[in-house]
Formats: sequence, structure tokens, C-alpha cells
Amino acid sequence: MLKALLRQPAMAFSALAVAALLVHVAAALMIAALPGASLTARLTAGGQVTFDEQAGHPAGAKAVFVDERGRERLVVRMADLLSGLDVRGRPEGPGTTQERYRRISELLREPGLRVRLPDGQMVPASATRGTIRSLDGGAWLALGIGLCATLAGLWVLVLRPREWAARMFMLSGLGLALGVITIAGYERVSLAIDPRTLFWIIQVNYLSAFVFGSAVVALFARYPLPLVPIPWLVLAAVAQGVLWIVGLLAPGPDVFSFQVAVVLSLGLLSLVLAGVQGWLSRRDPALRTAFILIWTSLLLCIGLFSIANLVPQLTGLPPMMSEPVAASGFLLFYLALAVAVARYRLFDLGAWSVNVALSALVLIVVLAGDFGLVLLTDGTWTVSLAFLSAAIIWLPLREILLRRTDRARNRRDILLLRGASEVAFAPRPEQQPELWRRLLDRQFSPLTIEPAACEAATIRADGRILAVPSPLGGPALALGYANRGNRLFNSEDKSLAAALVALVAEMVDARMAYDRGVRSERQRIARDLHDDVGARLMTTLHRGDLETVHADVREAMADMRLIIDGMSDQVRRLSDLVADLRHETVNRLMLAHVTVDWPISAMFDDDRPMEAVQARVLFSVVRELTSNVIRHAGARAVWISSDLSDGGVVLCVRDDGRGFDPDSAMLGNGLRNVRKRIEELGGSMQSNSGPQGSLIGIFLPVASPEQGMADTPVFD
Amino acid sequence: MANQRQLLIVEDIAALRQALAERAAAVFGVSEPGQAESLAVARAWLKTHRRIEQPLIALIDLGLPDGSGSELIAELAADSNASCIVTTIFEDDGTVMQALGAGAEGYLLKGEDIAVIEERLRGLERGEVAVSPKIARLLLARLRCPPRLQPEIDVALTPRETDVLRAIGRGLTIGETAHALDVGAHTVGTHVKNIYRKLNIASRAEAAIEASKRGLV
Repeated sequence: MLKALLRQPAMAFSALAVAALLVHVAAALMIAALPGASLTARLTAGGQVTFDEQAGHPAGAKAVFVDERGRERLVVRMADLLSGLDVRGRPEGPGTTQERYRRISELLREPGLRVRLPDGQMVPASATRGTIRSLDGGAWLALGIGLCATLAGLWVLVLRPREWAARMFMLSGLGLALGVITIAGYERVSLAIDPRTLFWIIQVNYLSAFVFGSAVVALFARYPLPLVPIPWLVLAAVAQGVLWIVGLLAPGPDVFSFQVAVVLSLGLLSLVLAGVQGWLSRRDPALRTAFILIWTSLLLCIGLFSIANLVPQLTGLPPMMSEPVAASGFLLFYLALAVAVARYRLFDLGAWSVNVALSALVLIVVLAGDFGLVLLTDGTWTVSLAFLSAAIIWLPLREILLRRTDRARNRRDILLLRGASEVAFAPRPEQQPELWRRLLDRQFSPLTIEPAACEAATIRADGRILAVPSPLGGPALALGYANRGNRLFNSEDKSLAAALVALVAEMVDARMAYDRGVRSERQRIARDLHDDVGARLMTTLHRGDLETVHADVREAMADMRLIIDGMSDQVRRLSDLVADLRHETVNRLMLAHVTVDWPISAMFDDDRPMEAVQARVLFSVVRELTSNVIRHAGARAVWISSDLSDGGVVLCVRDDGRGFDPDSAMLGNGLRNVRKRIEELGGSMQSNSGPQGSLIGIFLPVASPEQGMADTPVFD
Repeated sequence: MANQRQLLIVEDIAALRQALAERAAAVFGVSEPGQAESLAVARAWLKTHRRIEQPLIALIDLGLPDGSGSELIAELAADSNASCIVTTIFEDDGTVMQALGAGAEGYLLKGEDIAVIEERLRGLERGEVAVSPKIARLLLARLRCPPRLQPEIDVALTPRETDVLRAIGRGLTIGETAHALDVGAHTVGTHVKNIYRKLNIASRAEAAIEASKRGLV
């Protein structure tokens, strides 16, 4: 159960982080427990040693420790009272510095001890108990850096537990933590501390330097490319361990110098290895981004460190920050390294590096301006003036840069839209995949485009690949190596690709809907031509009587007219439709000398829009009935009524002719055809015929006026 | 011969031209009607045969091989003694309105039975006019409030004319319209002719305004 929980990265990291926190708290307590001394000597200018801001004494003058009974216990030089002195070698052996310090620390524990200064003044001296409150900001900062380094190492290790680089990074983190903790301890050094404790603090500090240096060397020796075989690295680590033990056993300035030289060369070696790695992996955008990141942060922290410490030393100005504060700059480098090793969203850090470089540039301009002004003026107003000059240069520059990117983005958006519409509105659908491919190619300039599988746009292989689904329903594409391999795909590319997919998909949908509309319209026209004009002309072919042929041809032309009408964009309103229908029918019947009675009804004022197919069916049926009346019924009068009821048009045609047999062929194909179409539209047709005439009723449902169009009718 | 008239048939379908020429010659009592299958031939005929003192009846098809019959109608507008009748297959495809605007006095549906066409020609001779609901509606929309015309050109419809167009637009025949408005059929015909004339004036005015706008006049 616990094992399973710890296998989850977040859980494992949390547990380890708590452990690291506890270790650091323990370290803080240990450092705090180091005793302090009531008197602290300070070396002043001119080689004098002073206590508590009083008059100084020559470094070589004698000071005597006197106990409460007035006995002289120890005579030392004033210089020996300076705390924090470099203590090299083993703290054993009579007469050595170590021996002297050990005696001082022991004496300070005795009550009533005083120091007689060279001028005869007696100063009380005792050891003070260290408390957690006595830890200063520098110690806390060092502990904080140690904790951060440990957490970064743990984070990387949890993310990539099996990788060499991650393990080495973790190790270096431990080394760094150990180093800064010992530095914090060293900062607390006083006369009351046993030199043997100091010895171990210093030795552990050297050990941490070895561990950190070796781990960084081992990291860059095999990350990202394995340059050095592991046995060599193990051998080197063992050699350093031996060196450390030698330092423990055989104390002396030579061993110490050798240790320092090894630590320095480890640092140099890691820089060289990192450089070689960076050079070798320059062709891989992901690795290159990682190295740009590492080098950017490294240069930045070295730059900050130099500006803060080295420049003041060179110019004789006081340092701007203490050593632990300056060391915190290394944390930046360390975190960048963590990101690079963990390969965590490395693809998004390309832009970050640029931003950091720009910010650093601004900072350097400000600082340089500040230093220049310090040298030129008396030191007042300098920061404000430096900021002012930076503002004069930087803000207009920034404005220009912003405007340029803005313009580029606008242009890019337009190109994007054009590309998307090219894909969606390709002349032929089979061209779309190729156009889509070309659009992606134009947009991202990848080195490779290969089929892939993905649901949504995703970044793969640490930004080397951007997988983009197809908006056309085809296979997704994996774009490899953005911008001809010059950069990694980042989150912006991803969202751009996703937007592009959505845009094209939407446009393709719109196009398909349009195509469907066009297709159904074409099908409708084809069917109308076939059913009406075609059928009528077919009948005509088999007629012998020229007059009927003429009538047929005219009806075919009228059918064509209706089909063409249906193709116009204009909305046909029911009122217009029935007016046209009435006009045509009455004229035809009048010319055939049949009297007509078709009263104007409410339908003649109804402005609801009619669909083309409804209009055509209404025309067809009335024409067919009129033709039948004229040709076959021998009627003298026709009564037509048109009304609206039950959500539809009700048409009745009655004549006084001789009637017809509903089943006879006389009725013609036309009427059957019309009945079929009415029924298709949800309407119905009924006929009744007898010797006194016939009556045909039609019902055709039409849309309600609420669904009508908004534009103004011709009549009001 | 004061009432001697001239007749010109402009039609590119030979059989139809022949039939129209025969029937129209009979109806209008013209012995030798001019026949033209194109604008060019029609213009040539007008140049050589036209006698300005005689009234001219021109039956003009719109879709001709070398252009639109409306051009010829517009040219004949300068001839005050000429009346143009448009011959068309479909009355409502926009071309009829255009021709009426160019100065045609009426139209004839050539898809109808030749006997019916002859009947229509006789109607024209009696002063009847052809007008469909669709054309009536278009006219009403176009002439009721001519927005772009200069105020001094009076092309607004009278209330009576509006009534006529409304009735016809609802599908009533001329006769039914006359009955509904309680006037004679002839009066209705006169109204329609006036409306056609107004459309022609409106079109010319619009063309003039357009020309002056473009600095052509």
C-alpha cells in the first residue's frame, strides 16, 4: 500500500520533501547549538585588533586569560583572539594553533574568566549558549538554499528515477546542501567553539565540494551524450574520497591546497564538459534549448555574482550583498539545470531564455549606469538616474519591439485565415489533405511531416514533435522539428495548431453544408426536369394531333418557367403565388371560353413564404386540373376556391363538365404524378366525379407565418 | 393614305418570325411587314424603309444574336410615331420590365398558341394591354416612391393607378379589375399604358441622373 503510494511521483516527492525539510531543521538546530563567545575581536585597518569598538591593540601584543581566582591561565597574542581564523591541519599536538584554540574554548566555559588586554584593562569572557534565535539572516539563507537544492534534486530524481543524469543531479544537490549548511556553521565560528568541531565542519565542507563537483562533472560527462565511461567516473570519485581521507589523516597546508586545486579543477572540468556537450548536441533542438537554458542561467548568475562581489572589490566600493546572498544566484543555475535534466516543459523555455537575456541586459544597463554615476557623482540620486537612463533607452525600444511583433502577428493571422480557407474551399475535396499539409508546412516549417495518431494537438518528444489531428477526418500528422530544426515546438505552437484544426474543421463543415444544399438543389432541379418537362415531352412524342402537341409544348415551357422560378433567390410569398396562379388559370380558361369564378380570399393577403417545392406542386396541380377541364371535361364553367385552414392551403376545383373516371387513363400521368407529390409534402387530394361535373379538393400544409421572412412585403 | 402603317418583326427564330409576320400583317392590315433576325438587320431595314409620317408597329424580341432588343426600343423612342411591343417567352424574367423602361408599350407572350397571339394582337389594336400580377407588383414597388428621381419629374402613381396595379397584382384580369374598380376595361388599359409610360420616364430620368453623376452630360 505504502509502496504503491510512493510509486506515484507526487506522493514520493512529498514524502522526500518532508524528510529533507526535517534534515534541514535538524541542521539548523545543530548550527544554533554551536556556542558563541561574549567577546569578539575584530581586525581593524592598520593591523590592530579591537574589542567591542574600543581602542585597538597591536596584533602581536600579549593578552592573558585570568580565572576567577586571579591565576593567569593562558597567554596569547591579540591576533589569536580573532575568531573565524583559517584552521588547517589536525587539531592535535601541543603548541599548535589548534591546541591553543582548544584551550581557549575550554577556558571560556569556566565561570568568572577574564582577559587582561595589553593596556591592563580586564574584559569578562565567557561562552554563550547558542539559541535558534541567534541564527542570522545569512545562516537562514544558506539553509534555504540547501533546502531548495535538495528539493530540486529530489524533484528531478522522482521524475526520472532511472536516469544517470537525474541521479547525479540529486547527488550534486545533496553536495550543495551539505556545502551551504557547513558554510552556515562556519559563519557561526567563535572562540568558544572547539577547533575539533571546526575541523569537521571544514572537512565536511570540502567533502561536499568534492561531492558537488564530482556529481556535476559526472552529470556533464554523460548528459546528454555519454562521453565518459562510468568506471572512469567511479574511479575518479574513489580517488577523491581517498584524497579527502588523506586530508583527514595527514593534515598540512599542502594537502589542503591540493584539495582546493582539485575542487577548482572539478569546476573547470564541468564547464568544459558542459561546453563539449552543448557543442555536440547543437543539432538537436531539444538539447540545444536545454543548453541555451543552462548557459543563460549560468552566465546570468556568474554575471550577477561578479557585479555584486567582484566589481565592488575591483572598484574599491563596498560589496552589494553578503556571500550567502550572492551564492543564492547559483540557485538559479541549479534550477535551470534541474529543468534541463528533468526535461520539464523545456520546449517552453526557449522564449524564457530570450526574455531572461533581455532582462539581464536591462539590469546590466541599470547597474552599469549606476556604477558610472557613482564614480562621476557623489553617489546621491544614482539609482534613480540609472533607471531614468534605462527608461529612456529601454522603454522606446520595448515599444518598437512590441509593435513589430504585433504587426507580425496580424499578418500571420491573415495568412492563417487564408490558408485555412484554401484548405476548406479547395476546388476538389481530394486536394484538401495536400493543402492541409502545405498549410502546416508553411506555418511551422517542420523538417518532417509523417502520419501519426492523436486526438488533439499534442507536443511530443520534448518539443521535437507536434502531433496535429486532421480537420478533414484523415490521419493525424506528426510535424518534426519546428522551423527547419531551429527551435522546439512550444505551447503557443500547440494552441495555434489546435485553433487551426478547429478553424479548418468549421470551414469544412460549412462548405459541406453548402455543398449538400447545392447538391440537393441540383437533384431537385434534375428531378423536376425529368418528372415534368421530360414526362410531358415524352407524352408529346406519341401524339398525332398537332394542336395537342402544341399545348403539351406550351405546358412544358410553363413547367420550365416554374423550375427557373424555383432557382431564383427571391422569396415566394403565398399571396404572390396565388395571384400568379389565379391570373394564369383565369386567362387560360377564358381563352378556352370557359367562365371562371375564383373569389379573392384571405389567402391573397397572406405573406408567408412558400418553399419552391410547394409552389411548384400548387402550380402543377392547378395547371393539370385546368388542362383536364379544357381538354376533356367539356365544361362551360369552373368554380375555384382557395382558402387557408388547418395550417395549409385548401383548393377546390369544381366544373360542370361530364366528369371522369378516377381510374381511367384519361386522368393522365400528370394528375397521378401531382397526387404523389402532394402526398410527399404531407398533403392530400380527393376527387369526386359524376355526370354533372367533378370536384377535386387539395390540401397542402404550409409553414406558419411566424416562420416567415422579416423583409417587407410588396403590399402593405 | 393616312392610316397606312408600317410593321417590323424582329425575331431570330425564323418560323416564329414568319408566323408573327403573317398574323400581325393580317391584324394591322400591312402588306409587306419588315422582318429582321438581328439588331443590325432591323436597323438597316429602318434606315431604308422607315417612313416617318407613317405609324410604325415593331414587335421586338429581346434576346437577339447581336444584342438586346431593348437597345432597338430605346433607339425607336426618338421616333414619336413608333410603338414597340416586346415579344418574350416569359413575361416575368426582368427583361420585360427593362423593355418597358426602354419605352415598349406592351408585351406579347410568343409561347402562346399562334391563334391566341393573334387574339392578343387584335386586343392591342383595340387598345388593350398585357400585364401580369408579377409585373404589376414590380411596377408598384418601383414607381410608388421613386427615391432617386428629381422632384420635378412627376412619375409618382396616382391613387387610381395604384388601385389598378394592386388589383392586377392580386391576380385579377383587366376585366375583373375594371369590374372591381367600377370602371371600363378600356380605362384600366389606359391606366396601365400610363404606368408603362411613367416607368419609361422614370428610367430615362434615372439614366440622366446617373449620367450627370458620372459627368457624362
